[in-house]
Amino acid sequence: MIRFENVGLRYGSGPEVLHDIDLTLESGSGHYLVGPTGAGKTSLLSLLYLGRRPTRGLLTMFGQDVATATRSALTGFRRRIGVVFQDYNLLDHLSAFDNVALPLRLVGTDPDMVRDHVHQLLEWVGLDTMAEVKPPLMSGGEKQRVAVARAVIGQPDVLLADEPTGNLDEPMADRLMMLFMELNRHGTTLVIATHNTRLPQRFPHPVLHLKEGFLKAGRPW
Amino acid sequence: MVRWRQRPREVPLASDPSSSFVPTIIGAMVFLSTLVLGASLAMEGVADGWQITGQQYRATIEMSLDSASEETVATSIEVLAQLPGITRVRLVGDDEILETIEAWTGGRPDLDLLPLPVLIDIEALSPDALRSDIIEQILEETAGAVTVYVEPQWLLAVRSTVGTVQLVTALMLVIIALISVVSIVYVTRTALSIHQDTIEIMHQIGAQDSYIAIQFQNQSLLLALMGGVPGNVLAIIIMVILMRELPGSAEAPLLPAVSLGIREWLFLGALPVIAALVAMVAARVTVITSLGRMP
Ligand SMILES: Nc1ncnc2c1ncn2[C@@H]1O[C@H](COP(=O)(O)OP(=O)(O)OP(=O)(O)O)[C@@H](O)[C@H]1O
Ligand SMILES: [Mg+2]
Repeated sequence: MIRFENVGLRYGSGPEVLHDIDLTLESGSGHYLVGPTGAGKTSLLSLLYLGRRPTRGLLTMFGQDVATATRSALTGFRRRIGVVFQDYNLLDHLSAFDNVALPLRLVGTDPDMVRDHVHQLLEWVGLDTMAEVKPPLMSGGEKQRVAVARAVIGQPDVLLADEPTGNLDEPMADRLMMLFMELNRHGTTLVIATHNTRLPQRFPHPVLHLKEGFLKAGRPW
Repeated sequence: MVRWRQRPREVPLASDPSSSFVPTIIGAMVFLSTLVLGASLAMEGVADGWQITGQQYRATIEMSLDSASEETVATSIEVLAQLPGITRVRLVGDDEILETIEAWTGGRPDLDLLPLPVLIDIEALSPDALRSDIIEQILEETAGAVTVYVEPQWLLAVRSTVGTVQLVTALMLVIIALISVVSIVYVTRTALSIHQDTIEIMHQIGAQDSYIAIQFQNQSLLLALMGGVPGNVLAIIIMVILMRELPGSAEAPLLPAVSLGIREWLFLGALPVIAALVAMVAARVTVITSLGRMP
């Protein structure tokens, strides 16, 4: 269970970009995070993937207040969180294969198993022929699919996806969404930030509506 | 082994400017330390050959053969040991005497023709305790006439020079080690900031600091070996050539040969390995402490 209590976030000495967030995400739940550009979706996700800590309020994940968690505890938490970053955050000098393999290698998975898993997943996202290609030589949609594969390969307890279908055509977007839904069915807590209003209709889940840094009730549309 | 090679380097350190800087600096440092240490070890060897190590004044007493019964020798040693200022009294063994004679004559003497002298070595902290006239007078009662050879003063000067050289060598090695460590720390810090984005992503995916540190330390080890081994080999070649130029024991049997034993050569050959290990540890410690300071 993930719990926000009166959480606020500001970047450095700038203005507060998230205000008074109160939110509980049950384990195994699935949510969309929607709202206009600049509303704070990525910022909220960055708190969830432990890239930042709240500047005020209380955020509890995996049964612990993240403000008091040690470095090594945070590392342990991050291994249980898969993230599709809005700008992918791939390692440019590594092949698609090695990018996707990274989360498994970090936890010392057997190399044969890594190879099998990675190829299987690359095939699912339609990139099996591009395993050895590096991100700078890929299209936006290809990079996005590598990022998705890397986020899900460790079967994380929490999966955070920031606009994961932004660069994809409808069939490929649906294919990836099915992957997310499959993980969610197996207990992964899911938060997908998106501008795409079609997704919540096709793969129904509750919607969290952010506007100007505040969580609003109801859908924006 | 195959698996190890399959592993990609997630932090692309190989393209850093450090990949030429570290081999150069470590190569130079290993080159210098090999020469400095080699020279010092060779000098120690020479000093050992002359038996001039240590900081004691020495004298050797030769007893006349007719009066040198076992009993007289024993009493003389006792008497000498009780003299003020004497720190050590030692009967020189026959083997030792024979070795010295061999060095002079180039062969074993016929013991029937040449009876060995009875020699007693004494040491003192000050030259005043080694006045030959006084010692001769004192031993007159117990051992009759003896001859005292007091070691010339200049040998002590040589001894203290050897001591100074050792000190300077140690100092230079410390300085060389410091320069190396500081360079590695600097290079590693630079690399950390060059690859900050990569490290951030890796942290985000769940990499431990030690996982990231391994990449830096392996690179540091590799680069240090790449520089250290050639630096070491070059220095050793130079030393071998120099030692060939110096008179060997065949031409001048009385001069101790300027050479190194197998232990010394092995020690010198280990220097690049030692340097590489130091570079590895320095890189690791730098990464772990720098990352540990991150929020
Ligand atoms: N690194 C940063 N430093 C300072 N301000 C930032 C930073 N990242 C985001 N902001 C600010 O925080 C606010 C929320 O940005 P955020 O990226 O969370 O919006 P978003 O909802 O993800 O928008 P989009 O739909 O365009 O991705 C914006 O006003 C933005 O300017
Ligand atoms: Mg965003």
